[in-house]
Amino acid sequence: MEIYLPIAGVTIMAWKLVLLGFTVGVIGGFFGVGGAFIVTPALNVFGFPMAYAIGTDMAHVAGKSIIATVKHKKLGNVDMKLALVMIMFTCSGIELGARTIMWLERIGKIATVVRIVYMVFLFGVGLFMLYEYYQMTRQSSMHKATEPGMSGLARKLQNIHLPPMITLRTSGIVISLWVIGGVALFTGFFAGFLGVGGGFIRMPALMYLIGCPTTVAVGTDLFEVMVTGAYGAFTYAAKARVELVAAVVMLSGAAIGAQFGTIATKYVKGLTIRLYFAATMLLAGVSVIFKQISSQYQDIYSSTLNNWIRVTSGLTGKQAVREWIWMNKPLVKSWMAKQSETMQAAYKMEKVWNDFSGYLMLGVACVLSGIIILRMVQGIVLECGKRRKYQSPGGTM
Amino acid sequence: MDKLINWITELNRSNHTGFALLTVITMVALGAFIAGLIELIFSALGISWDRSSKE
Repeated sequence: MEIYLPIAGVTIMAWKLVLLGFTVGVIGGFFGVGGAFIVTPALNVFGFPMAYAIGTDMAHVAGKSIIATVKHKKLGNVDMKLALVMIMFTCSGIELGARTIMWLERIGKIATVVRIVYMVFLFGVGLFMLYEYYQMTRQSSMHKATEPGMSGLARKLQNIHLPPMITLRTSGIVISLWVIGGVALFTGFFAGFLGVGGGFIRMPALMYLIGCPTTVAVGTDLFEVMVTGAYGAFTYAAKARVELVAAVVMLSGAAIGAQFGTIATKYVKGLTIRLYFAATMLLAGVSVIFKQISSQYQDIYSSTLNNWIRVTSGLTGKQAVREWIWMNKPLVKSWMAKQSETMQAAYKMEKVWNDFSGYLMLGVACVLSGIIILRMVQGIVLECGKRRKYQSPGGTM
Repeated sequence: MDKLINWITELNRSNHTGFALLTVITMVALGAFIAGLIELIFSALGISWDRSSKE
């Protein structure tokens, strides 16, 4: 079924949105992230302008994270006290990050700096987690090492006895309020700086800096994603950048996916969750590299194109020019056909690399959610087998 | 359905705060409704995924 989305001005097959919602729902429930690093490039590939892709993603995250959080709460994975303390400091961090972005925008270095920080962060976290996984598996067999021990950094931070100290029963730790505050401020700053929900920053921070067990880090992070997602949905909708119909359609798929992803955390070992997360971070890093290549091609023709638009339409603001390009694609194409071969080639290559970036993340989402569902089914089958053995008259368990 | 989509599009153009409130309320309510519905279905089928069943 093809649907027309009038706010974003896009026509799309509904199943594409349902499938995207489903795969990101699985990944979100499994890792405790909103999944903006998958949804935004994928929606962009489907034809959504970038601002609408981000806004629509935020809106669907607001609904999806409630479903996954409720499930994680039932599994005992949400540390409410930790989540509530973190939210207060995260908001201040986001504000600081957003102000830094404004400053970078004034000095005109925003796009490249943000992309470089994004790449460093994704590759840094991904490689560190991969290294940790292989260290752990080398030390002991996978059957013994199901949940890695607390990191050295988390131990050091827990030894800072700066009152008030907080007992986190769900996470099984006692830690200073100021340590939690510092970590939340740090993760919030990067979320605000990179313009993302921050789930993929907070989840490793909860594990490696606070010292939470993997599943508690996933559940607690999702609680925060729920709050930041609702706030993000409000601000983007207030700027008329949410395609509500698309968000609702995506949510229908995400609702089922989030169930699968959350239930899978019950059957997949903590260490394996970290391995999958590391692989996803590295592939997301590659996707950002593609995006950077795409933007370098864009730089070749953008100033000439923008000048032409300013003269033709009388528009001055960057945002207004961007919107004009989106609304007048045929005009831009016919203008481009009259330009030099170098500019025409750059225009084509920009689209090619942008599509590579989107399709890579879409592929990652499909493959990863398939693996997660497979592991969940294996776990359930194994559990049913054990139960049957236990219930049978000759059962020894 | 077309009337509803037209109304949402018009609201998005004319009243941004109203559209923002509608977006958040719709997504949160829908999320909570689906979460509740799924829990009901699970309990009706006798499937338990609470912390006691966690390995």
